[in-house]
Amino acid sequence: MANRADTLSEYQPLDFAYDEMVDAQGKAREHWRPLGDFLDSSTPQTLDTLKRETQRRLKEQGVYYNVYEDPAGKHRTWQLDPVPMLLSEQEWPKLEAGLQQRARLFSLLLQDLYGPQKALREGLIPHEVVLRHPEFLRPAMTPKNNKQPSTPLVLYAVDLARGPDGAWWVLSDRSQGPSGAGYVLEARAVTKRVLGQSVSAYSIAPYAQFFHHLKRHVSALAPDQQREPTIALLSSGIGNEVYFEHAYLAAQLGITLVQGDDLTVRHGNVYLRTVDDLRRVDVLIRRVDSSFCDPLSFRSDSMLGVPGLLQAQQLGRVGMANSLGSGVLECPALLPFLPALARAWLGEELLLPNVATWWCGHDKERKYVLAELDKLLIKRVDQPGKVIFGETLSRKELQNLTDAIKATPWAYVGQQHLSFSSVPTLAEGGLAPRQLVLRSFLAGDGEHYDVMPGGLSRVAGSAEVSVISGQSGGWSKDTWLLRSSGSMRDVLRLHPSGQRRLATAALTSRAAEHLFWAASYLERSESLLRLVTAYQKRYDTWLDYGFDSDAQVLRQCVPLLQLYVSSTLIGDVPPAPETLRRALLSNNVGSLAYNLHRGLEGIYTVRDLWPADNWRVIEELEELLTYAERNREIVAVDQMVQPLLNAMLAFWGATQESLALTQGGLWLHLGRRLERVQNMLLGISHLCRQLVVGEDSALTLETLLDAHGCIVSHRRRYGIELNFLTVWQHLLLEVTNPRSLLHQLEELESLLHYLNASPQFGLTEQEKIVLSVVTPLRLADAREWSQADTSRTLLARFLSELSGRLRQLGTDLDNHYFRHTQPFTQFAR
Amino acid sequence: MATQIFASMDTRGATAVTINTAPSFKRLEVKHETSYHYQSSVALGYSLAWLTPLSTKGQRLLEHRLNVLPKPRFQHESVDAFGNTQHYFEMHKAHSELRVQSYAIVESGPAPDVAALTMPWESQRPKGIGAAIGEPPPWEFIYSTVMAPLHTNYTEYARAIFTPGRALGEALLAFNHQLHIDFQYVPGSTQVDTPLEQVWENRAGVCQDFAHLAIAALRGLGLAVAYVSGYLLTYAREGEKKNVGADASHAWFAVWANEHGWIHLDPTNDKVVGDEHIVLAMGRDYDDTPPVKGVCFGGGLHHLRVGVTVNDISASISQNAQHQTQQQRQHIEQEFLQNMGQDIAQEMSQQQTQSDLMSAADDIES
Repeated sequence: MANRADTLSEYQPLDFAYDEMVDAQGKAREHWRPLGDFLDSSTPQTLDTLKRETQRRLKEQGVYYNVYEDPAGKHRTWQLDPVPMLLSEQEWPKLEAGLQQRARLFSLLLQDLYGPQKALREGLIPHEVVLRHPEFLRPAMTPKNNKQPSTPLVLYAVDLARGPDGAWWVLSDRSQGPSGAGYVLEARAVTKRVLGQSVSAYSIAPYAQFFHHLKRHVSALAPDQQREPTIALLSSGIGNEVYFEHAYLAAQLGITLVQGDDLTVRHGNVYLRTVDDLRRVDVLIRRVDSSFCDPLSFRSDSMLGVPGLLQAQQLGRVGMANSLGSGVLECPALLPFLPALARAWLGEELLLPNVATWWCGHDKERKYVLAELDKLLIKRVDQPGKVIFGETLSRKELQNLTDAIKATPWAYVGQQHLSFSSVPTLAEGGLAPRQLVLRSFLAGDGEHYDVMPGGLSRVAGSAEVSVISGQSGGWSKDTWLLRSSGSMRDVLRLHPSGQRRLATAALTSRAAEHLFWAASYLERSESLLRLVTAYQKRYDTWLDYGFDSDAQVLRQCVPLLQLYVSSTLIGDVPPAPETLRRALLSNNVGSLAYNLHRGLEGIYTVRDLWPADNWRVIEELEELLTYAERNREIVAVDQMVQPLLNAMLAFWGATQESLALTQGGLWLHLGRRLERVQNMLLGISHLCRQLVVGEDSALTLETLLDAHGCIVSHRRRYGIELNFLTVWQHLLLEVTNPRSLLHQLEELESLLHYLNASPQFGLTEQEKIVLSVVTPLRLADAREWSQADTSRTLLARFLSELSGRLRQLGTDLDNHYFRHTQPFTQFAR
Repeated sequence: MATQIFASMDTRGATAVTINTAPSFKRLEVKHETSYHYQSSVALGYSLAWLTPLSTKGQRLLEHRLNVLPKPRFQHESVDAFGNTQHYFEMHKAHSELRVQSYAIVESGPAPDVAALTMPWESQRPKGIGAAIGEPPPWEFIYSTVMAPLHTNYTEYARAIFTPGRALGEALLAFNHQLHIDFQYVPGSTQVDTPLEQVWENRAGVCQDFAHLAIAALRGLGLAVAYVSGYLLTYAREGEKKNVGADASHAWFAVWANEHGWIHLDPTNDKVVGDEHIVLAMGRDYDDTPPVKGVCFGGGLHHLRVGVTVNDISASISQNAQHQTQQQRQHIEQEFLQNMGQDIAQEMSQQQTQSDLMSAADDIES
């Protein structure tokens, strides 16, 4: 035990900050010892593996952090450090009590600012701080004639840092739509899996209970004491930097992930557009900033909101966590006034101190800030996330900032530049200290708050930088609140058996639409890939033997390829597969890359529906595509096609197992079947028209079978016999061939039947359309098309006609089940 | 004494004074129709309207009716953050025209003797603790807003008149007059969203612009100033009958004087607001209380038409005043409906076909 310090000698804490692991004497703190031992016994290789394993697992789960306007694409993998932050059991109660007190105070303040405004009238807070804050939204004031009790602050988060003295300080508050709780769950899952049994000495406080409480508090906001409220998480969608988190949290809580246009207000109630009808929403967990939430009352240029949402809140017909307007509490200029507020309203001293903050709206404070500008952090009250480090500014920049502060002093605060504590982090070349900010999460009802035991720790990307945010390249860590007793296992189950689920997630019309189209795009990619494979095979034969008959087949295939990718491939010489490659991987509409991207985008948009298994497969598909695109000049076509086809098959296999029909599987399969049928009808009728009477068509037919994956089954059935009759029978009419046209249609038929809500009243319009396509096929006789000329004419016409009828089905489904929100417009003024 | 001098001032926040129904009060009737004609059908519409006249010290609301066509599926009335009555309504059925008709009768008192406000203007900067709980505190009205942004140009313009220690009333009258002289009233010269800067440069605008300019200028001096939307009684030329709808919505500004409440001034007409004005709503700028605003799905381009008629009906009030007013109102409503009878019939038939097309999910009531 005495040599503990020696074993950690490689780790050099920062000399100006408190180190979480190592004390002033260079010894590991008590609660860090087991982890210290593990780290110490690890070779650089082990640590490196640990790090890579963490990133791999995150990537597999599709944990992304979207970066706005990132030219590299929408996704960047979230960075997680496998070394957790450890909190000792001894210091927790004090921290917890401080956080709870702060939440109670903020809840009172929220209700007051949107109500009687005693804090302003009694001068506890300068009115300028509140009235000039852009998130103080007057339309959200509690109406005087309102009988509804005003909504408390339900969800709340605090960013904390530990100073050199070892005490925790509050840096800022999050009340708009505190984000990060979903990452916490993911961080826990990955960290525990990666570290495995290496640190089994620890007992860690589990998170599941907190999320249960969170859901309980949110549910309590439902109007009319609704027992099983419908809860939805309102997200701004795929463009948001933390969309993954929205999706993950919604999935974990078993609630519906929605965007503004999924919702509609009628009679002051909020409804969700599902594929069946409108479904009342009782509570919204709001992750869209208030001012973007209702274009009628707030920012009219926002496309993320729901007109009338504020009225619904004011009428008490929807619970809102947090209520519209809650963002005003994030104003950093409130900090200096909190101690007095706590004394006045709670009769208590503030338990958790704020980091020293000076509001420039007061003369004395402004003079101090201006005098110390090069030592302080400067924040604008309306941009609490944006920090200016005085020490990094040039003389000119300091002058500009001084002028700006003097021009609008109320808009600025100065904050003490605290040396945050450091925590060991796996950096390049081993363990290194990185400065830490801890985000704590709370959920409550205004009086009682539950604190997440632990939180989300975030560390700076490098030793020099103390700016910590996901966007500027920092890392996150799991946070372990250590318990002296209890089980080692932290079960992530949020719905332990025996505990009734509070609500069921509804499938939004938008989700159904995305699934339908994603499946269509993937299916289109798949049939294109199969066609390319068949083409390539034929091309190889032609290269080997040089028969003109093969060249003829290739020429006939080109128009089929052009059904997908528009390009000028026509010529006497069939284009080499390598020539096709560029067209396939181009960004043009209809290319393979285009279809796959659209499909993947749809899949990503309904991120909350996919279980981990699926995600791994989706990830692989995306990786293959990225690889092919990056190497579009050199990748061999067969090297690209087969792995992509395999990945797609794996995707379909996984969804079959995991996505129930009621949870969206239906729409996925509908999209896929309908697309496949259409591809077959169009492709085959197109090919028929290429046929030349008098020429031997056997090779063409063989390639056609190949392109539809039917060559082996055909051979098993007919041996070496291959002519129009056998091919049309097998490819179009044979019910026992799972890839035949008729079989696809029958699948479609049963899916549509499933969708029929009242079969006792007969068929739906959609079912009728399919029946009108299936019946002629069932009645058809392949002998009528047994020649090239009849195939060219009769069959081609027959298939085109069926295709036309099905086009109506697509339109019908779209009209009937998918959301049809037009963009809204403002009235002229 | 104070009651008479400041008869047309809104003293929300100051001592309440009972309404005087002396004969000097005018009884005004207002008809205000806002209509939107959409290029294509609107499937869903949401609106907010601030069309109910305020009851203030100088004005008493006797009657108000709001009539929306087609009939909204949901309507809700509430009081906004500034004490105004606000109407919210939802349209669920497809429609190609929306009409918002407001009918009100108010009793309006004479203009106060503003010149009698002799206290130095600086003393009327709002004190930290002003209004009673539940009323908008005057310091809501001292900050820069989007439509009335503070600028040194405007502040200096006001400062030239608001010399140190000058009597508030005198300074206000002089300022109101100066604005009237310096800025030309040119109908159509600006839109609602024309920046104030442009008004300042062109020295021309409409009532809204002058109100915003006065607000920005006087807030620059530290006074609390409100934007007031309302109406003004106009008279037909001699021998002519006044055209229905020829009047317009009007706007002006009001300055907070601590003991006396709001003092309303109309720079467009160089007048102190009196018995020819009707106060509709008060806010920080136009955006807080537009007469009607809304968001709709569909519609495409649309055409907005506003018609306002203000009549002095004091003369028609006899001993049986209440009864007559009732009759009169009914008559006017009939007139409204007659004018529109034809349009509505057409609209109805259109609606039928449009609503047939709407999906079942779009109307939860059916």
